[in-house]
Amino acid sequence: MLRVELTTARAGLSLALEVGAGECVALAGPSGAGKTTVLQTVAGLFRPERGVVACGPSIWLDTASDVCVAPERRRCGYVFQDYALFPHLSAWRNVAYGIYARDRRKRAYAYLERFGIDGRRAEARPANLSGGERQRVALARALARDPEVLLLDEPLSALDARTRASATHELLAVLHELRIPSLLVTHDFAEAAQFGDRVGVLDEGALVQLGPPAELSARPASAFVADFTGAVVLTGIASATADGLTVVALDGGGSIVSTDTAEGPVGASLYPWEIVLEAGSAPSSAQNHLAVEVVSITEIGGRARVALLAGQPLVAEVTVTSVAALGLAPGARVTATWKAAATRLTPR
Amino acid sequence: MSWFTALLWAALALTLAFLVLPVVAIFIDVGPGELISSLDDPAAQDALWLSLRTSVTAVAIIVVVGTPAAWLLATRSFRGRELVVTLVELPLVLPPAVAGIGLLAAVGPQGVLAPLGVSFTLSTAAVVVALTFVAAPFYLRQAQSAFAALDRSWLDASRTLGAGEARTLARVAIPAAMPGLSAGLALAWGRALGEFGATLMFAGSFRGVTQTVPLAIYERFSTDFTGALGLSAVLVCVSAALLLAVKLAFRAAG
Repeated sequence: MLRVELTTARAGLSLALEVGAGECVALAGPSGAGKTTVLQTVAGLFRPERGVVACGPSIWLDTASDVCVAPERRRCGYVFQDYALFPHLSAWRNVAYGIYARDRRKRAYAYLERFGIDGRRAEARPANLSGGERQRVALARALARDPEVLLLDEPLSALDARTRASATHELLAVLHELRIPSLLVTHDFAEAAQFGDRVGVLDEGALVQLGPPAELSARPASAFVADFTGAVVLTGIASATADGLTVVALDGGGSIVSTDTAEGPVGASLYPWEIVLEAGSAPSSAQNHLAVEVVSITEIGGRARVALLAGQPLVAEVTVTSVAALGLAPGARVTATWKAAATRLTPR
Repeated sequence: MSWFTALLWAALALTLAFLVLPVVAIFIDVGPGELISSLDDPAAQDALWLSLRTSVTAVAIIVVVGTPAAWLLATRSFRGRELVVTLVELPLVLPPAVAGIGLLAAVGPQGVLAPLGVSFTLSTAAVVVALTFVAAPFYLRQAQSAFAALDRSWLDASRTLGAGEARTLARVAIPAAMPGLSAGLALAWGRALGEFGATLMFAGSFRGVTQTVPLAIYERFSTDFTGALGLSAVLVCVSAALLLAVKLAFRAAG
């Protein structure tokens, strides 16, 4: 098990976190939130003003008792953002760099083979490898060290969209096999949800929410988390009604209802695909009706993202067919409807 | 071609003509026959051999001591670092005569270190001291910037892969910085081969002991201009060959 506690002036970071054996915790947040600093603290590449890093029975960092183990003695497998492969060494020598046992060459080749790099490619320098190959060499190098913790810094961000899909499958397989704690950081919530057994959202140096990805989407602890997970966030003032629902008077006009209970200033979040667009003011079973104006329409595959304005901006995702059926175009006035139960309220 | 591009080419042509003409003139004045025969002179051979020995020794000392020093300057920040960097670069702008006087005052017969028994004048060792003094900043400057330009994450990766700082320097930093380091080495070597003023003042000009090729050329030019020209031609060839060899060797290795 990995335990991390740290407080530092860098990025105003202050958090505590535990990662179980075989578990992957994904830290997600915007750039500058201090994600990489967390990894560097675990690896010993950065020393926070106050902090504890414990891996199983070994204490790697304890500022209170002035313990700080050098990075080379920590046994961390670290996959750097741009992989940081040594440019002057061939792929297999990069992997063998962290192997101190006998048969370094044989072992390095075995690791590379496991990640689909054959003997011929193993002799190539990083400059002559493709992005996907570099990522696999970096992963092989980190694991060849026989680490007690795996640290991954934006492991897919340097890859093009096509390579990313296969790299995702490979990395998921590796994470499932591993019996050690893994800590992954990314700026992309979707990526975090894909890899993390639990996802932690970092904002301005604080861990604002930590839990299974589905829980973060369903119950965002704050408007920031809701926004980060891809939801639409509307702000307003909440007040209870007699029938047990909560009415939110939206800033900028209009009102909506939610099944959540709240009082005072709130963020109301909902997902773009839960919004249905209807022509005019057709009646429907959904309880939320908001008169909106279409601002723009972007088609993505069979879906269309429709940017709307109703005092506050919001986004709906609908099928391309319904765009045609409704005759949607910028400037068109329609009604956005969704269920009260799809509206999450978070205090602001 | 616009008038401005033409102006740029004209400036380059003028620069090149000015810089290359003296070198070419040496070879126009000295025929190949004279070049060979100037090498028959035992005094010229002594000077050439001494220049090679002393410059190789000086460059070796500079690389062995200068590389870790440059690494420290490139990787650590400490109080007074800027001052240290400036002091290290000072010999670059020092007139050779001042360097000679300074060396005499430091490690000459009546120098600051003389009471401790450290005194070098008028010996081959004194030539090495003078060459090291004037050439070291060229290597240090290059090595420091080559190390500073390395991708920080390579060094971090090496540490997380179980290598201490010494191993990281030897296995990652030096090989990755090799183009910069070899350029620095070539510059320092070139400066050492051409050193004149500080050597003359500090070590003197004694044949076979302290008379390097530039000193031998100077001694000759009032009495035997042709001999001076021949020796100059040899020095041009040797310098160019050495620098080229260093560059090619390290390019092949890197």
